[in-house]
Amino acid sequence: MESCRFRGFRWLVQVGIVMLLAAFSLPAVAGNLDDDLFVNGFVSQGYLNTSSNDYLVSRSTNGTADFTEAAITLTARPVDRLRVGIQFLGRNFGETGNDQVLIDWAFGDYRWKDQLGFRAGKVRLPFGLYNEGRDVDMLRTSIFLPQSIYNDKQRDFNLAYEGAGAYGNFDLQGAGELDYHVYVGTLNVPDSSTGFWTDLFEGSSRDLEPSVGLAVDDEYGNSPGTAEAGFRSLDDWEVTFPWIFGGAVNWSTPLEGLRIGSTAIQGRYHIKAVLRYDVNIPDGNNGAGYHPYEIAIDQTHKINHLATFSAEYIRDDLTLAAEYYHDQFEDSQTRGWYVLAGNRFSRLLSLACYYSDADPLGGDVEIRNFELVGLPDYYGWQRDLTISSRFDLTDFWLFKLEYHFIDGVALTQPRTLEENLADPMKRHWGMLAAKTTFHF
Amino acid sequence: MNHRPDRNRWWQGFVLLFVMASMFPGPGFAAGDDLVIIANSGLYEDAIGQKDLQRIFLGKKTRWDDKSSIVPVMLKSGPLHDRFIEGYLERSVQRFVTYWRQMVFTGKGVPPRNFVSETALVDFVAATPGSVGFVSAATNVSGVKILALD
Repeated sequence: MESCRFRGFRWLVQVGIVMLLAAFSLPAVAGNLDDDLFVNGFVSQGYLNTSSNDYLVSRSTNGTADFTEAAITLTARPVDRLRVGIQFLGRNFGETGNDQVLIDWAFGDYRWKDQLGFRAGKVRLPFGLYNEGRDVDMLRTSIFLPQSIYNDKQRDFNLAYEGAGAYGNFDLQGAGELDYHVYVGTLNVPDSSTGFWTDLFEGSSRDLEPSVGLAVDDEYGNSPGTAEAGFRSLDDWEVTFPWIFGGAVNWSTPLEGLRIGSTAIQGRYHIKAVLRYDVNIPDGNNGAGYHPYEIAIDQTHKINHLATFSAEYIRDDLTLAAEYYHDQFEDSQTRGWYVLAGNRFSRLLSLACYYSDADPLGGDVEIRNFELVGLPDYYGWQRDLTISSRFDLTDFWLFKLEYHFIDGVALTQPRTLEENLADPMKRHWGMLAAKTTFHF
Repeated sequence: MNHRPDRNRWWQGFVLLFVMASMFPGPGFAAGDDLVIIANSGLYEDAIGQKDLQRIFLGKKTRWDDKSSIVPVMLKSGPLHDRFIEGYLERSVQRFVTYWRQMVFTGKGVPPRNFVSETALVDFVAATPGSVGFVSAATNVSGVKILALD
């Protein structure tokens, strides 16, 4: 399914429409226009500022309000057992999502029986406890979910799958309930020219500069280290997921409020790009002068697995949760985990705290590799102690404020090795975030 | 801007506040006699279990045993609404609301139809096959059947 895109002025119009709808719909809790058509939505504005190290967006150390979301959801039940729905979402978050209104999800749901239903279209990806609802600010106390599992840099393409799935719920009588969801399809990368993929591969392209120089030296018969290569551009850039499949299972245990679950994904991703370099061979050497150099990439890679293991306990207004994440690609792996506690103390105030530990580069071996190239070991991890507060000012308007105490820089904005060696990032730093949301 | 967190003081203060506040139990109500479960008079079942009620109002059970569609309805707000959620569904109102917000904004379901008045709710149940809801025991429930709680 191709995402719909509108630019500039239309974006403002869309946001305005959503805000007007919100304003006129506030008294209607359910948002149902009639018995079988439901309209809901939200508009939010955030701010974040890091004490040092750029994180999630470029130049976050300067503070940024480039953190806006607006969504409108339409759901209808045309006939018995069938439900169809669509959500349009506009999002500005640093370099990603600018001036675009995308179809966030859109699918048909045929519930044949409680134990077996089918969904087809663009469907929220069941991954971990909270991926499906990660954009919905009203569902939680914190502004940001723990980044060790719900990395916002990857949000654009792991929010929903495009394909078909089956789901259901089993009443296990005295043993609780079991929910499942299995699916097959693909992931859509809305804009590979910004965000995670570009950060990843532009960084890698720059790291290849010495290798390009050596290749040119070899080509012209010069001694190694003669040619100087500079990365120029990443062109004809495309990322696709030919196929993925996965599933989620959640067991609601006999202990009221305790659920245990696991999710997993396997598949392939394909990258296609041309890396362009300018190579200078100094005077007095063979082939002296500037030479363009290109590397064409057209590769398919295997995703061995992405998996989560989760537990959540909710009792009255208390929420406790813990999740573990592991992925395995062809030549790399990532780990992450977090623990979370939250409580709603009154109609107005909720507080939450989580400790998140991301090890995105695979552990001790990678840390040793950092040290070998002269970087501190804390480039290999990012630990985040977050304290969040949420104020429900009315039934339709909330405000959140949170602070992150962070150790390590593994999830920060990418920089070149040269930049890191010349000016290493700070190990201990913080992030302040605030956000307000209207919803209906 | 330079944040210089005093980590220990923040952390200790938060933990103390959290533990103290969590010691006070949230509001809870036992299922009482001031509320009755009603259903369309065409329903062949005369009683319903509390777990089935929970599954119905959370959108997990959508079919009666004869495979006909279940149409759950509820009051929009008020003490009776809160008592039903806390006493019969055994969860806080906030948790119930959050659950349905998640279902709505992820496309996984729509919440039970709601009514401002008990009279309107009874009229709807009387006219709609498969519907089930609740009203206060004092409400006139002619035209619908009252389900016993198993």
